[in-house]
Amino acid sequence: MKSHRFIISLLMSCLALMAGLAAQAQSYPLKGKVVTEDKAPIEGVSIVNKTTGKGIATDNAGMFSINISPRDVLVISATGYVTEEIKAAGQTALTVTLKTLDKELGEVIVVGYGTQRKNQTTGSIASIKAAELTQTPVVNVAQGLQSRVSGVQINQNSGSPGGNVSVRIRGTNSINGTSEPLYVIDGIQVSNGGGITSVSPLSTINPNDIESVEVLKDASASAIYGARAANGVVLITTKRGKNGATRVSVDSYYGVQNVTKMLEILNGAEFAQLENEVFNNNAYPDPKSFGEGINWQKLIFRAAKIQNHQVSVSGGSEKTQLALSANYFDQDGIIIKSGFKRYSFRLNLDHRISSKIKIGSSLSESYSINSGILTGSQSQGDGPAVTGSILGAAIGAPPIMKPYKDDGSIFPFGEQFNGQYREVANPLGIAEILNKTAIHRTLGNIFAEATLLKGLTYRASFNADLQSSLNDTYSPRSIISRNDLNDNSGSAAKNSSYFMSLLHESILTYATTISANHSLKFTGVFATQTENSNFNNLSATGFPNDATTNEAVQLAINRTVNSGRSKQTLDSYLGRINYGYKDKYLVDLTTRVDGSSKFGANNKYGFFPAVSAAWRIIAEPFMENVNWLSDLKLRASYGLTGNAGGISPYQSLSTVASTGSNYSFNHVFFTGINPTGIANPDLRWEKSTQADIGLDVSLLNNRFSLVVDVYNKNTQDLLYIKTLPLTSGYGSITGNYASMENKGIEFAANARILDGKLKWSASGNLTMNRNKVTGLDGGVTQERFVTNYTILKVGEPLGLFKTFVFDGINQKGEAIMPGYDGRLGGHKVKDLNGDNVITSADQTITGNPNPKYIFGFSTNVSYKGFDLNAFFSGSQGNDIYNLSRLAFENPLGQRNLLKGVVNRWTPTNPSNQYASAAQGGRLPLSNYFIEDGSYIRCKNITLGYRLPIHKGISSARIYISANNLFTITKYSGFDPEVNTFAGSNTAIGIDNLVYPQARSFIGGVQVSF
Amino acid sequence: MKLFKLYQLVIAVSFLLLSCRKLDETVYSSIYTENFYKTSSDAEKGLVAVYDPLADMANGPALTLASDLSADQSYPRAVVGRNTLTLFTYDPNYTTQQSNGRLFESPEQIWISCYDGIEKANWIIEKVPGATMDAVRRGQIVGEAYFLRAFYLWIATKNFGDVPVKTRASVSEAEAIVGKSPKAEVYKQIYSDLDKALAAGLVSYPAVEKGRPSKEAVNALYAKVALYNEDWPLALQKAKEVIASGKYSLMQDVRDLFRFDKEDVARIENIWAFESEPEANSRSSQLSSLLGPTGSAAPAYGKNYFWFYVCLPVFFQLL
Repeated sequence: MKSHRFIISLLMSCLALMAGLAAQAQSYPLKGKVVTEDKAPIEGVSIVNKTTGKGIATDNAGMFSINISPRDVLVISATGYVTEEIKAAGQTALTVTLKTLDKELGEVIVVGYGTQRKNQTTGSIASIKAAELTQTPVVNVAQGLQSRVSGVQINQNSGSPGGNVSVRIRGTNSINGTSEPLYVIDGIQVSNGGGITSVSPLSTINPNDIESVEVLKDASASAIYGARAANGVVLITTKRGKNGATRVSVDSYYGVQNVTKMLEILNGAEFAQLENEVFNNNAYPDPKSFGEGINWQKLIFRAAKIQNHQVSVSGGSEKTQLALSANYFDQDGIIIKSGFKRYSFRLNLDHRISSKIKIGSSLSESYSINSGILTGSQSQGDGPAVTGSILGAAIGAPPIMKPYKDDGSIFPFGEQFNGQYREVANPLGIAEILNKTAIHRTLGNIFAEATLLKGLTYRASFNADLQSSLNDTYSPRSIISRNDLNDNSGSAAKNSSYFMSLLHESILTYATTISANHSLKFTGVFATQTENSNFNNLSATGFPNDATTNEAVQLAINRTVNSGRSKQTLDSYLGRINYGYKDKYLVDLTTRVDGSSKFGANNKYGFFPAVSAAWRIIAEPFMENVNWLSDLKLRASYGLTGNAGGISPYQSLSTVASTGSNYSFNHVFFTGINPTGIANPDLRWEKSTQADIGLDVSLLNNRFSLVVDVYNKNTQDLLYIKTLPLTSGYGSITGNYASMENKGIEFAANARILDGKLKWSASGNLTMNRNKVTGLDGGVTQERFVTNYTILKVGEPLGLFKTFVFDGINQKGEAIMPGYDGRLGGHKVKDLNGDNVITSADQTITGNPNPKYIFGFSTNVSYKGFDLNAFFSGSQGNDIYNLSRLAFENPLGQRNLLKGVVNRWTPTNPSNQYASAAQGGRLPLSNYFIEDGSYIRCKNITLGYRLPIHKGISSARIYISANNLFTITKYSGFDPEVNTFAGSNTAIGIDNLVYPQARSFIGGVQVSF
Repeated sequence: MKLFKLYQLVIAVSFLLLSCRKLDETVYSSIYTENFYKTSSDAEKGLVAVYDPLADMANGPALTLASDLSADQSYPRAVVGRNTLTLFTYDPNYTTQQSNGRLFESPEQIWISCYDGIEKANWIIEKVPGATMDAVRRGQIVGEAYFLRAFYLWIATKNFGDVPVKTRASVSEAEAIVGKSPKAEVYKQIYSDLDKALAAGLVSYPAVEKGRPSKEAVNALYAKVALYNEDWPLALQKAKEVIASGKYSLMQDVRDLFRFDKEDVARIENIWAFESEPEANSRSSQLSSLLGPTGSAAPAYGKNYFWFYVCLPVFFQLL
């Protein structure tokens, strides 16, 4: 089925190629010169004979000579200038004057399945150039986009190299589905995701190859991506070769990173004193003798290097252009043993077979190696938060313990102090746990484009995304204390996964003008995509020794294996009509039909239409005399988009599988097979209807520009895991049971403040988004807990914190309310309903993790060869649930705590904040742990100097930069940009210790030959 | 010009060829339910899954300690990360706000596991009679499913009183939801299931495979269920049938019932029990570590250190 479709498409491409080989007529040479409006010659201008497809470039005097015949047309183009077409008939000597391209208005931007002049767009599209993307030392494109685009909230959830980043375009649109946008890299569709400790899929793609990024925000711009467009679309275009002199560029930087802060914790003496109090046993008769003890944070943090080296070659002739690059990126983590390395190359090739036929290819390959470390846990308070995370262990490890034995090996805590502190772990031991992921990724496509008739082109492309990854883990015996070591010690795993996505697209475009005033462009696309995934996992425990780590699993006593495979297909049919009247009134109509194998039997195909219009007021006759305005455009759009990202294959079906339903008979273990859930033949995509109104204004010859958009996005049929009565045999059923809205306003402004010898420009953006859940479970549920302190509630935004209300400490003589584990010296919570007992009715909404607004601001100053850039970002009005304090402000014994606990309640020190020492005690989940997460961050300051040009070197720049230089915040944790639950839609702004963001200082050089 | 027309034809035709297809899914790592329960190995694998909820309940304190803790016969010792509130508090919110996510220690686990088992048994009872396999074993498989359904329903009603009686598999969302039945109705269903289990040709002790109920075990459960239903004559009658079978007897030394190495010998008195296996790849129980000595003081099969139980209850026998 699949294969014959590809064959047909291939045939179509071949036919298109053959047709282009048209006959050629007699020719004669034409000489000419290309100049600017100021009569200065332009070098490297492309002169192409449109009929023959042959062309040349101008020399350094702007001169050229080309063979033509009388009916030929010459296309004269150069970067930064308006392209001219000149009829050859009657020309013998030619002087062509190229007008400077008005940067803002004439700019061509990439849209879904095509390109468009920026002034003709009707949708909300933001465009970001390479220089901005890579101003900071980023490992992936999403980091580079952070705070650059209005309406887009990007959170670096983890500071681990290559780590998790979440992107939200115009708010979170889903509860149980994904809210990440669709990424399209040169036509190849890629998704982002992953947990807090996994490598971001985007990190396997080298951001230095990117020419530009377009963010499609409203329904009009994104609807052409149909069932995957509701979260917005990020179009990534990589650098392609240009006709002209070959250019070799070297771009390198090297830097050092450090942690921005360490948490204040108890020292040895304070810890020993606390232990005496908790256990009331005077185990340490002289606490002061322990002095400062060990601050374990100093043992796990380090100064870490970061480096990036890229060599690019680009150039080509009229017929063939190429861009080739090789890149090496290497970032050590600021926590020991962690790091990320990537080797990659890219080859983009374009070749013109004839004036009518063009072929090309984009190919990139990367090999990334991530050394991960367990830094945080999603479980609250105890065990895993302390022992399962190197940060938790570094805070919880008693400062009185020894890190190393006399022989230099790691000293397990179970072997010290009679095992009293065995429930906390030696952080250096956690660092010994291997967790390495190696990912190969190939992104490639080939395409052929044929001009069939005047204005009619057909393009066929074949795209592939191939990934294979291997995750190696080994937890050694050496970190286990002697008493706990047994035959089953030492655990290893090898998890491999393979992913292959194949996509074919056939694109037919027809552009025409009717009587000069009406422009019409039609785009029709057929696309078919298949995704195959499979994994093979093996794990084992019980190794004789650590010598072979996980490389000889056959040595282990216990071994388990599991594997799985899945496949999904997507067929799409789409069309778009762009109509313009005198470049003044513009209307776009878009529709897409998406059919996915994942959808339920009753809903296989979805239909996604959008309409948009723009009025270029500036082009009206009555604006002719308004010279101070250089652009004024009003845009409006309305459309329907879908989100199928949360649906996994087979989810709508009734299947049986082996999901751990096991039992033993006659002492032999048997694996059972059980039904996995209730079929839902109605399962379908989430539907977002979005309305957008935007205004583009430019003043004083585009010196100042402003883009404002307001939007309202209603999402219906949200994927939701509806709770079923447990008597059904299952806990839940997944279906389209919820709804939500996001509305907001976004501003983006640019200014060229000074434009003389001293240049000063600035740009900023501000986004306000308001999210509201409008329905859950079709009205059955009004409110539901997501974590023990986060709720989903109808009429409220996602992620609200609902907890008890902290009311100080239970003091002597006070009556202690029953129902919540209250004690003298312990936390007191408010009895909100006054029934003299603490129940869940006394929990109330105490915080909101959604920011009131987020912003980014950057400024560039340049004078002669010097340039100085600064970049700030921020978030205001968001709360953080600092869950780590639940574990580390609770004096329950056997673990070290945050410094504040020195001031804990005792009969003689009636503190009203810090609970008293109590063995095994627990603090109630209250708003005590909620903090203001607002911040302003200086993300980057760069000082660069462009060296005077030497022979053989066309440009050279050196720079130094400081990244994440300072953050102004009241937040007490490592960093206010945090989420333990990574890209979760519903659990937001929670800090249970994640890998902190590094501060880095970098020096770099950019040279072109 | 002729060539161009050809093109248009090719494009038109190929777009027609590419018209909407059905987009059915191919499964690789699971099986469509309608294609399962067809052979003897399907039926056996499906039956293993019916036993699984028993292990889910017996692994933690839900099955074994629930009644003791909720009746205040015993209480857990507060240790790091656990306090008295974590056990056996009811929480109206699905996320067990107060039990702090320790679902397996809560009464809710009993409810979950019982209905999990009932659903899995329902599939066996509905589907396996149609399987192509040896008729004797097929009857026994269905009989074991009836026995387990009776057991789960009894555990549910014993703990919660009036409970839903669900005798059909959840094929659609509409069919998944049934109302509550009065206790008398629940016991009627349990009796009916046990009658069917008795008639299913189950193997007698000692020939019965370790871990499965023998024919006599059905009567033993019948007797115990009848006791809970205050149906004294029936309880007496069923208990007498077990004794009259002559298959089971008491151990010489009662202490041998609790000895690890006498486990199989003690099956003559332990009519049916949860098969806890301490190996890494099996279903074990926390019981030994909750009740046994700490850490290195424990024997090899139960080394652990989260000893928390204050009062030692009688060891838990299912029958």
